[in-house]
Amino acid sequence: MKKLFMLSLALSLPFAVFAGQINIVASSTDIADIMKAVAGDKANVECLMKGTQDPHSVEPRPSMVVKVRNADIMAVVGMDLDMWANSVIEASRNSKVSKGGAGYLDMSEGIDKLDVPEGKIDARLGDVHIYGNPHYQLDPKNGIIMADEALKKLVEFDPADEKYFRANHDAFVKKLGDGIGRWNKMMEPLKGKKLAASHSCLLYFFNAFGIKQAGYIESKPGIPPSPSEVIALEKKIKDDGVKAVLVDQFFDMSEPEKISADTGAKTVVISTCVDGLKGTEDYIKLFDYDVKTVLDAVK
Amino acid sequence: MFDLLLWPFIACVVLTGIHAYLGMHVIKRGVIFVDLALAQTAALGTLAGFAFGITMHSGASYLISLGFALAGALFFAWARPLEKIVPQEAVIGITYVFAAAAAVLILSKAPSEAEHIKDMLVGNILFVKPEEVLKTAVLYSAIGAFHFIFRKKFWLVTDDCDEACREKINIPFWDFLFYASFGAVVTSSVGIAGVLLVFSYLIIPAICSTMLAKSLKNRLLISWGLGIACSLGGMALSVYKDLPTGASIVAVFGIMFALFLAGKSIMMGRRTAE
Repeated sequence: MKKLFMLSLALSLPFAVFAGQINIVASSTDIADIMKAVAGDKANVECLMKGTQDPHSVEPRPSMVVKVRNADIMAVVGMDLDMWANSVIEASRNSKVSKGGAGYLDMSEGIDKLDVPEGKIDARLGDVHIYGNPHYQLDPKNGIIMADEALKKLVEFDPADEKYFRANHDAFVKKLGDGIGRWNKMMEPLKGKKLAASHSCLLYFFNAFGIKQAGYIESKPGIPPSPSEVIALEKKIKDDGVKAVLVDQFFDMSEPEKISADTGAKTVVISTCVDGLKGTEDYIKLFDYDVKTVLDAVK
Repeated sequence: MFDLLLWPFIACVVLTGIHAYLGMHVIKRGVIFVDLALAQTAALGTLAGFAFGITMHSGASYLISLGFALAGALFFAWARPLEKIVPQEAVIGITYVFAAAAAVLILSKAPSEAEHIKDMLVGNILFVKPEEVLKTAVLYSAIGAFHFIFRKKFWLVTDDCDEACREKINIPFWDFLFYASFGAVVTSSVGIAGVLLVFSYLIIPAICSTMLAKSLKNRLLISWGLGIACSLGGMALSVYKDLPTGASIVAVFGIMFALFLAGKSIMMGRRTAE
């Protein structure tokens, strides 16, 4: 076993060295896009997930383990969102990129986390989401923090190319910063207004643009709402004049459509990640798309 | 690549060993979905424990899930004398939907994300850990030995209740032992391989072997061969086409079953023509 592993390691090592490229594996499409932006052509970035896959439930394939086995840097969302990625890392037996290894990058490190359970953590929470809401990529300001993390890790790995990475990083952050200015301006009319959402995966989007949250269709992701929850949400939508229900691309449309028919609020499907819907091919286009889609609906 | 699949393959061999045998009992008893019902009952136990503050994947959590599976076994054994009025298959189906619905109700009151908790109960064959495989192998060997020692009684109770009655065998007791040992097997196998794969290992080799051989021994040997062949075929498919491993193995099992069925029906057609 060990011999085989060493052999495969020995065989893969020369490639990594001669190609002169850093092998980066990202668990989510957003992270892959940001890593690509900062690493430029010094790295080969692979993504384990497609944007059209629900990050909670990804069916692992053997090729994922092979990719991670050859990785120099493995970047994950963290906060227990992509627990499957940790299983992949474990199966790859690549200690460089496992938790605590030099190549492991948890993108949530520097994030200002929302919905973190307060006070003493109840034993009932077990080891599930004690870190708070992990869908932080939907606040574009967090994209800057993620780019910072990417830069830090890349420089650590390859200090000789620091200048190159820094230039890439700065260009990306500038472009994203321009975007944030543009989106904030566009979303100005929605500031302080109330909208409803499919579930808490859209929390950071609301927070980013100062939109107030009128309620979630599923208060527990994956568990259909009880009748009284639906009635309460519909009443809230009518009473507060909520104009739209934002729905993530994975959500089943039957419930939002029913609520829309009952209340007159529009349903708006937005993408929670890069490549989740057509027109969201990179991190900046993701917000261009989502912001425009929401604004078109509530106009 | 091959060392990556070494432990999953060993896990498949271990699964084949006991499931192919128990599968023959299950088919003979006509309780095809009993594994789903017991696995769901065990999962309900884990969730109920979780709701009362017991950490998942701990010893206490395992004991509770085993306790629930045993309660399910007791229920099936208790309902069997009524078989003529209430078919066992109905009891099993009802147990399954009830346990699945109860799990949804518990999750709806759980304080954290339900999706995660559901995923945590179902294993993935690609990620089995060596120590998990070894632990499971020890457990299955013990249960296998138990079944081997008392094979006459187990088969009499499975085959022919009237005959068992005449021999003054305590049928509910042996029924309970059967379902209890079965529940213990399924609880751990679902934890490492997932529901679909466990059902396939249990039913498909056993049912294919009945098309080929008559004696129990030959059937068992054929089942083991088929189980291992399909595991290898599924893993090869998974590697070369880059598909999820568990689902690939199940697909290969399904195709093999269809081929067996086609072959058998052609042979039977010939025999009637003659």
